[in-house]
Amino acid sequence: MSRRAQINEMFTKSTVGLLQAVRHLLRKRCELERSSRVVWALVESGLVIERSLCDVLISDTLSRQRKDGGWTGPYDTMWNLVALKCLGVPKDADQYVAGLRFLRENRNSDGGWGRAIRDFSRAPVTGAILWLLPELRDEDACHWLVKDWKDEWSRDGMDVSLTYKGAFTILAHKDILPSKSIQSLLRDTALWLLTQQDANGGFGPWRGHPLGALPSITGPVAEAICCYLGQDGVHMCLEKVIRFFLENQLVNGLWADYFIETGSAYAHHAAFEIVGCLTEESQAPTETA
Amino acid sequence: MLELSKVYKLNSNISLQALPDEVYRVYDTEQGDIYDINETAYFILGLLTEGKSLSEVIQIVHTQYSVSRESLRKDLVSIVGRFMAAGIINEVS
Repeated sequence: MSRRAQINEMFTKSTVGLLQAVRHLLRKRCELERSSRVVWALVESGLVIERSLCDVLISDTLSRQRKDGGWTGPYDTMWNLVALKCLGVPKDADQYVAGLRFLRENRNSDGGWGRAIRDFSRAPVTGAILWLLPELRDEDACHWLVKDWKDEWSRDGMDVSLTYKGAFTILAHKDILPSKSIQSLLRDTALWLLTQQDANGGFGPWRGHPLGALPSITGPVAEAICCYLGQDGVHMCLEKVIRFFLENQLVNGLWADYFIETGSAYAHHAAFEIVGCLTEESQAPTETA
Repeated sequence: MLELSKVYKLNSNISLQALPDEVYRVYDTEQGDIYDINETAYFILGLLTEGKSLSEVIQIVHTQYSVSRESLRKDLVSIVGRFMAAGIINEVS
């Protein structure tokens, strides 16, 4: 089987696996953010979800929204809003607007967000909010994220730094043009991430972490690196990530992680993004002398 | 017999997918069937999802691709017939 056929087979299996996961999560009344994350991964990777499932997801999500506009805290509110957006709920719908208001009102004074209302600001939460709900991007939040990453990142290698924090800092700035110094920081971060790839092509909290590579970390890190396609080493790194996804996909189409559907959602979304970027790169006209 | 003024919609158990490299799929999650379709069929199913009638689909596809209306009508009737037989779409009553 050609590599292209293998990749398409991988997408088919993960799509079926994730659709089954959504139904299972709904049936078991699991935390809503888990099914919301899967919806995001499926819709953003080109799936038009069947109408019957869309209707159930929208009504279930809206029925669990609280009067203050949020669900339980900033993190799940973000995922549920993202899912509603993916399911076609208009951005000016009252409940969507109320959700955004909840996020604006339940933000820490330093500009970032924690998982829960009384939680301290966290880079993966703040980064994900700015990445997936760009309408909430502002200078305070970006500033907090960059400062947190600068504090975290040990450029001299004397201490370990968490790959996913760097990745979410990059993703939070996706499609915008920050100041030159931040652009430079983000590019250096992406190049540093390349050095953190495990031998099997995936990413863990850092290279050589005892847990090894996880789909839930490999996904966001690979998507962050993908923003720098064209830089030395990026293409090769992304090819290895695809190999990691191909070699580690389970029979049911998902990837093993703490929460199986969470890792799988990140893996599926990242694989789609990477394959799209690599395809585009291969079709781009090459410069001639 | 298909009527061009009628509206057809995707069955509630059908999901559509566009993958990189121009691969298009239809998932029937009730039957567990997966169909590979081409870009035009995907485009047509997308228009039906939006609630367009067959005559509106012909008009839009005619604008998008340089195909004569008559050959388009024949192709569309054939495609829609096959989609209906496979349980992918049904007529809106």
